[in-house]
Amino acid sequence: MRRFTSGAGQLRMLLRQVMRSPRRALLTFLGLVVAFFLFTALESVLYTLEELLAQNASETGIFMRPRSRASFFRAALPIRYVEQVRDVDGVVEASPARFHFGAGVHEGSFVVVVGVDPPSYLRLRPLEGVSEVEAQAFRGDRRGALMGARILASNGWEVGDEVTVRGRGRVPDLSLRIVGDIGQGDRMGRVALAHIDYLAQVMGGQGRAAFIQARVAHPSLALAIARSLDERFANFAVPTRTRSERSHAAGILANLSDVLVGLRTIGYLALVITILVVGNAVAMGVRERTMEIGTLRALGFGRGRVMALVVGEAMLLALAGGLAGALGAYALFESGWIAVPRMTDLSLHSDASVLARSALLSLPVGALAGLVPAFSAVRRPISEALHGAD
Amino acid sequence: MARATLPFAYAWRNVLARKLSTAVTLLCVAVSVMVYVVMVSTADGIERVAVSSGDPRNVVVLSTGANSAESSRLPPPSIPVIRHFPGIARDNSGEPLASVELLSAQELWRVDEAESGEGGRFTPIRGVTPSAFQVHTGSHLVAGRLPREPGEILVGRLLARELGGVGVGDSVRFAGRVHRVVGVFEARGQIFESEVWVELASLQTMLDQRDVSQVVIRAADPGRLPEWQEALSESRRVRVDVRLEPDYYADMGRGSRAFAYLGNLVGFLLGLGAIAAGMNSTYAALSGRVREMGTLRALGFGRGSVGAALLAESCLIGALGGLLGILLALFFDGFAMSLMGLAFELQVRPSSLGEGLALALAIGLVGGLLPARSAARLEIVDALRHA
Amino acid sequence: MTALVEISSLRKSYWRGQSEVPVLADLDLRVERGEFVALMGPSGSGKSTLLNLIAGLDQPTEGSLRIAGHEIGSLSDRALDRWRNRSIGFVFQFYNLVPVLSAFENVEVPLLLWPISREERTGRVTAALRVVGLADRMEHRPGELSGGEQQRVAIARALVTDPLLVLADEPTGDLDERNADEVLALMRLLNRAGGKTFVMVTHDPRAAAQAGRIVRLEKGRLVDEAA
Ligand SMILES: Nc1ncnc2c1ncn2[C@@H]1O[C@H](COP(=O)(O)OP(=O)(O)OP(=O)(O)O)[C@@H](O)[C@H]1O
Ligand SMILES: [Mg+2]
Repeated sequence: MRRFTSGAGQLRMLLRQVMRSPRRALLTFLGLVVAFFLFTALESVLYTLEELLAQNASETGIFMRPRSRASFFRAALPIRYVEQVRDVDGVVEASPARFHFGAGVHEGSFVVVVGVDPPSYLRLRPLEGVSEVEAQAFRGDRRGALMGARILASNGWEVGDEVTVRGRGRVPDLSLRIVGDIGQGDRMGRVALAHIDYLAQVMGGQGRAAFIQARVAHPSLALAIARSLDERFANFAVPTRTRSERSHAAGILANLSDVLVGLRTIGYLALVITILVVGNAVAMGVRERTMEIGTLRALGFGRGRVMALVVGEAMLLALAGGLAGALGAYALFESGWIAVPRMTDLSLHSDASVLARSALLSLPVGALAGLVPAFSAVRRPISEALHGAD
Repeated sequence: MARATLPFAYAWRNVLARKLSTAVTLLCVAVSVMVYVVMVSTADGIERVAVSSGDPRNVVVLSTGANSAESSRLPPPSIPVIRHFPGIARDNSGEPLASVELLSAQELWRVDEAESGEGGRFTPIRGVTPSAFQVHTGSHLVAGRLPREPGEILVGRLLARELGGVGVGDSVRFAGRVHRVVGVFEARGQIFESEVWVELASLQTMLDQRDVSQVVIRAADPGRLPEWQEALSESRRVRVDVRLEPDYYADMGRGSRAFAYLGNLVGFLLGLGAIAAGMNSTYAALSGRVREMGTLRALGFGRGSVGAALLAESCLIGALGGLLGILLALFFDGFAMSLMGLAFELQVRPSSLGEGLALALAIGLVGGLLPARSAARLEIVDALRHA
Repeated sequence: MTALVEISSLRKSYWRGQSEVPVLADLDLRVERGEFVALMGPSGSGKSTLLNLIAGLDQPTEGSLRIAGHEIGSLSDRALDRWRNRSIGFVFQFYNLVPVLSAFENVEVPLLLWPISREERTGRVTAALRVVGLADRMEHRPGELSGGEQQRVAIARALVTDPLLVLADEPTGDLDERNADEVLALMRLLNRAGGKTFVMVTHDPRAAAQAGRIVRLEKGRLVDEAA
């Protein structure tokens, strides 16, 4: 049997087949676009969530807080533990932190102040938006603060200003000197960094931190060091609980798991349904072309080639619709138009890996969709098929 | 009678005749409807917990500036002031109806789960006194007894279920130690059912903290609640924020609207896909029956009748798909879920089912409109010549 | 008394883009009540076109076409629908039965537009099926009937309204000899005994021989009329 002389000829034939009923092709395409849009959108939501949690969770990071605590934000951990953590073999750096929530210029505005030990903090978490000059100024000024771009913008503050972060209720005001701009990056647009000891002096609770972060030399050490630290502090006044940043993030994800599983299920459900929709559309075409397929086979096309034509048709459609839908969702999410209500700092976004996965999934979707119609196309004896449908 | 239409049986049998197409469209519609209803029911489930929580005669007293119990701290001296604030309701023995509470969120494991494993459940732990059962109306023990010593706890009904049926005598682990369940309580579906309740004093010891988070108090005269609320918040003896208990929990339910919103969006998108699939199969049904339509026209049926017959087919499939969808969705009624420490049950309301069915009919209608118009526009002569 | 069908100076053209394709030209024809006319002619000569015009399925380009005194061309779409339902019976080459309906229900279809009771409808349908000899096959679907039987169901459907005129386009074209003879015999019986008027298009001289009169069409014109 002769093969097609050119791949182009084969492709042309496929395209003709797909466009034979333009209306059906268009409707099927639209169905595919919708399904892949939905799938990619849901995957992007999950991606944003996972990335958000994993971002600050490096493989070498560990995270220590009091074993029992009323509130995550309460400063209850003795800062002097930092020295002992740093002395442990395999720990590269350790740094304490605590929180303070205050208001900016406008009533009801929200400023998160994170009190840190500047030298160790900046070694632990170098900030992209902060120059060496700014870092120097921060380290050297007890009342100095680095501020996120969003705080600066929404309060009309500038680097060099003396500002007041107002306390709520009985909480005292906090006056700070802005020595640098953190910028937009690192998801710290709404965060202000200040000296932890200055914060403690104003707010009370000297010598206490909400948590201690540390970096270990190698990911494989994280678990063992975390455990040995907890054993070491077990009989101290404040026993600790230390976890790797990764397992902390995983813990939060686990508590969202019902929702995550639900969203992911919906995405895949949409794809499975789409297989049926595309398969049905292709099957309709095959039924209408019964006589023609009989003719092709009479002309010497083998079963395999006819089946390949049908599967190819389904895959072509799926690829086109899948790409369009996935790209549409990707572009929408990357545009930053979709913000999570109330958390204006967090806009949903997507990633090339999500896009690639969705687009690639369109191929198996098409292949599966084409399989059943392909078999039914070659099932009839040629003589019968030549007489047309039914 | 002159405008008679084709019998319903005609549409019905045609629907049955094209089995594969019908089944695919049916499934598309069913899935769209099911997903829509389940997502809305998730929102309703969360909202039901939020809305049913709290007693309209109660107020929650927090420290000033605190948005939630999590950030609120009332020092011990302020507690008697609040408990004896004039206008507070009293029980039979003359004690004020005030529940002094300390709240904390802890990661919690069943005792047979290894703590090193990831994913303890964030669980609200509420330190309470026995008067909590009086102040939080509807809450009562369904098994066991009240805790008597440190290490003994009560678990809410939904949390017990979420933990895989933990009951009296079982143990759980949180805050670095093992706690024994000595009782299970119910609270009329209120938020408390996803919590652990322990003795206030033992939680204070556990957390090494004297301050409490909030005091929930009952007004003696619920009719004058607004004035009372104001008097308390402007008191010079304590500096507190006072919120009506139902409002306080209703606020927490706001987030559930996100699910309803998402449900609408996803339902709409899936519905669009179902319309495309349905339209495809209705067009195919038409093209397979052009000559039949021409014959019917020749026999005297008007343009409208043949169009209507096709539209009826499409709507019929929509309606059937909708029924299947809500049937599937009904399986999720009462399905237990949890989200960041809030356990709740999916609540499939009749109105959501109605909306799901409306969605299905809309899919059938929109998907059938264009093919029906094509059918009505057929010229008899051409249709009869059709292969 | 006027003839049942009176056609004078009838012209019918189709348009293919800008160019006119004449199909019927300057055609005159009368069909009396109770006649059985066979319409013959080579393929493409316009037989089906003429039949469609008489049926009111299509509009003449020019000329007059009166049936029972009504000028067909002047009726509205709605009136035409009603007219066909009441006055014309159709028999097609490929039977054109609705595959999802039983024989009984297929015959019932034209009566669904009539303001009559269910009992009356059932009576008429049963009678029509009895006439064509299929009273015992009423519950069968078209797929379960032979070609001849299907065509007899179609004839019953044409008769059930007791139309003025039955139009048949190659009613035996798809049937073997024996089935064709059965169908033709049935039609002749209905013509002779029942007084129904038939206009039948056919290629088959044996079928035409059953008719009372043969009309020949060639390139859109009547060539001669043989008795
Ligand atoms: N709807 C149409 N549009 C354009 N041309 C048409 C149309 N219907 C018929 N014709 C043309 O009119 C001519 C007559 O067609 P018609 O169907 O009446 O022939 P016929 O005598 O019935 O032929 P046959 O014996 O093959 O059935 C043919 O040339 C045909 O191509
Ligand atoms: Mg013809």
